[in-house]
Amino acid sequence: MVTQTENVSIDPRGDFSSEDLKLRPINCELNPLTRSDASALFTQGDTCVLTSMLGPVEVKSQNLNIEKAHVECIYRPKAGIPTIEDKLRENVIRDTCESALLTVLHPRTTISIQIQELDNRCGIEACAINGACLALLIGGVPMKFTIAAVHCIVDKDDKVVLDPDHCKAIGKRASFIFVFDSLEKNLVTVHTSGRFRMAQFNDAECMSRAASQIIFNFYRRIISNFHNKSLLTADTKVRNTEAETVVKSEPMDV
Amino acid sequence: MTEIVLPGDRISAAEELAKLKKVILGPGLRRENEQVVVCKAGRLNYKEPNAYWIDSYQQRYVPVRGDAVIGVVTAKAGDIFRVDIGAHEQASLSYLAFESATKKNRPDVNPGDVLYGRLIVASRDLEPELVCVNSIGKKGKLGVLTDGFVMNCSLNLARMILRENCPLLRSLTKEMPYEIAVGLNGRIWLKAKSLRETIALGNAILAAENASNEEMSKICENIGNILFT
Amino acid sequence: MKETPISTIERNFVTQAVKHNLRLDGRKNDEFRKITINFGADWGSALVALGETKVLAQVSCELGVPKATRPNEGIIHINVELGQMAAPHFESGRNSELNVQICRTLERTFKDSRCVDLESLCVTTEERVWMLRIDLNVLNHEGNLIDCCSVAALSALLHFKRPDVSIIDNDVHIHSPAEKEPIPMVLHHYPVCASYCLFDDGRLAIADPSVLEERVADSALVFGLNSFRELCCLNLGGTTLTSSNLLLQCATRAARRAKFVVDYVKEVLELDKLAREEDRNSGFTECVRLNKITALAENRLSLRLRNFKLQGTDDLKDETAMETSGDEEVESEEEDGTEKPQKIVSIDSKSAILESNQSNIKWVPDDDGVESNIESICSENVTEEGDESERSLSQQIEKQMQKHSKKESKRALSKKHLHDDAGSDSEEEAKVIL
Repeated sequence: MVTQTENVSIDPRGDFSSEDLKLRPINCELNPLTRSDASALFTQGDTCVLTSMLGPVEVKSQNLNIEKAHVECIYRPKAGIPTIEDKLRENVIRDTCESALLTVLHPRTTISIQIQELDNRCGIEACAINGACLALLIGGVPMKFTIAAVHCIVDKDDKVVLDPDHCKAIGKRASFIFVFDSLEKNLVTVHTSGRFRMAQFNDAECMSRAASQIIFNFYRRIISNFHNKSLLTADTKVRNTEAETVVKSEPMDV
Repeated sequence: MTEIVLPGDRISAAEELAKLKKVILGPGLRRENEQVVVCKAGRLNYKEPNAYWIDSYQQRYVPVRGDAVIGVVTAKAGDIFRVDIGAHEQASLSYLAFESATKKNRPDVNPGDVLYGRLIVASRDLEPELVCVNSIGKKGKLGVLTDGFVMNCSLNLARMILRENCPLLRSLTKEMPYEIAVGLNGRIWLKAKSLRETIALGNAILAAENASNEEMSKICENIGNILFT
Repeated sequence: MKETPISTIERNFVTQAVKHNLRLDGRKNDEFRKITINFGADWGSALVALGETKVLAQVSCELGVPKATRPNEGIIHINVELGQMAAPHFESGRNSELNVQICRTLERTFKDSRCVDLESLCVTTEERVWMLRIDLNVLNHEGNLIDCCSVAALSALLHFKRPDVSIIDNDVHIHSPAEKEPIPMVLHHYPVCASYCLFDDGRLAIADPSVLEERVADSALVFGLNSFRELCCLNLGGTTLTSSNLLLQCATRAARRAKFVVDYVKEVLELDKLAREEDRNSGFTECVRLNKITALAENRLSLRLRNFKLQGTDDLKDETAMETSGDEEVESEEEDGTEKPQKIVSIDSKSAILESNQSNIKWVPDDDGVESNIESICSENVTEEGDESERSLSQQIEKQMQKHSKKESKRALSKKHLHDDAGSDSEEEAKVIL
């Protein structure tokens, strides 16, 4: 499920206008919960997830690893018991986060990530990964890099659409989730479903890579807010205004 | 320096300095070959002449050797006490690690007691170990804490209170007499003359979490006003 | 992971403070935390916060076969999920004692009180009925989960709309919301829970306990009440037996609280309905954007003096002022509600002492001797307030208490027969609940 590739070359055609590189509005509140070590309420468009993390904490003996921390992820759907699909999501999120974490620094411990679905209006996996990354960032666990997930689909007219909303996704032919690291924007995870052509995959990847910059910029802004030390911002520091959802410069001219 | 950094960022200033002299990398920074890489999100700090570290927000304690921490005794197991210090593992505390304790003269410590101890063993591969004496066998300020109240806070707040230039405790002394023990594991023990004063004290400390230095004295004044009017 | 042990000094401090009418978070003994309700984008999803305790509720439904004993009634299933997100020591997927307790209390409050019109959930008798499922995901455990869960369940139920069906040639066809307007739920009455914790050998009760108070308290008292002051459920867990006087006092206040909460739920529902009619965006995203689901730093302080304001007097932010202004109204409303029969007699540095108009009823009974004249107090209560429902409430409680004591004695007997190595208190409690 998780592929780690290095130095994926960016499609030289790169002729997407900034119109294409638009994500839905991103909003986030840090530490809405008090009992977990860190938490984030992350929304992208109308999709909303609550993520929290604990760690490093006590490890169960069956998960004990003397080399590195055990990473676990629990995904809770809003209604009903977790389905196979939810278990699959759990695994994708866990593997993705584990690759970003420096687990060797905390052997014989658990780092646990909990995801609670609040509103699912398309792209919940990407939203969950971004939320989990923010929770890990403020939870103070050592990480190699930050990660940003972007959701992309091939719609019914065979067009690649970046971060679609609920309505646009009706009748989609394929959907992709790309996760990039913050260092070289290398792919960390690709998760696809449906049928698509290789060219569409490449297009989707390039668009997502460019759009991931929006999310990385958002991380930096919100973390800066979080660490500002003043009472006047004490209440606002956990919240954030919307992110710039469009990449302003022409990031494709790499 | 008040730069906010995220994991994966490189600190080129430190790399440059490393070419000239030895550089000390504190929490949140790692060396990867010739690069200095950030691994925690937070504020980058630099202290003359050569120390870099990152002030990150954290709730969960990771044991560090030499830290003074507050723990709760959970069990007596033969010769050792098990102490919960809020880390991933309980710390052990030998019954001989108290002032003038001998095999005959055992210290009076029971499960449920709160104590202030120092970590003497803290490594990622070993169980943390506490002591309640200093290197010359005196208890100093360590030992069982009686009365008062224990509250939890973020690790940053505990570190901040203990910083030399932090005006919080000094401004609070102007308002009321009190005793305090700050554990670096994010637990603070407080004791004042009355219950209400203890709550006021805790209130002031928790409120200081996001305050700047000037705001802190304001909070303390405010607390004093509420308390004695 | 194990729960953080509670130290002796914390235990002593809390009990001492409660005896001095002092609560760590600056509330009065009978003061509840602020309640906020937000609705999600889907029908039947609600996020309820009681102070920092947060619960997400989602109601869902599917067609199923009814029970043979009740062939024309729908089925309700309540599921409470306590995951690691709520508190580090919880484990998801395992039925803990607390989980069972909350579940049972809610089942008694919602199912056994027959507040949902189950017959309206019937599609074809003996063949197909709607099976409702109420999922309660606890997000943050800061004490008094039962109250928060009950409000979440009620708001979600009221918010929920099931799809319309039509039967064509003995085949049930479920219409999508676009085809036919979904149908709202029919509820006969609106029950919620109100909890109290008893201290000082059952002489003192505090409302809406925090985690620490819950853990230190001698016993817990949960009332399930609807807005007509009718008792749906009464649960007494723990060690001490309460004086019936205090019990009645608590019940009266709980009834008032229930009324207030139900009114608030109705109000928020109305607002949500309005917003949806005007086609405004709704859902949690909108709430986040409008800073409705927020963690205000000021509310975070676990230790707090009564009049403390984080930002002093001068630089209170406009935004916060605006945000709270609406709620303050509500709060004052509540205060009016809870304190009508009382007046504040004296305010000293430590606390405000509330005194009842009714001279011989005190919130905190002085000694157990008062118990002997409960009857007289009850009757006085009725005559003074002229409220018939008050009497019925006390009768209901007495009935419940009798039932309870009968059960207890039965249980004690059966237990003797069964085991001599009778289990711990906890086991006992679980049995009472079941």
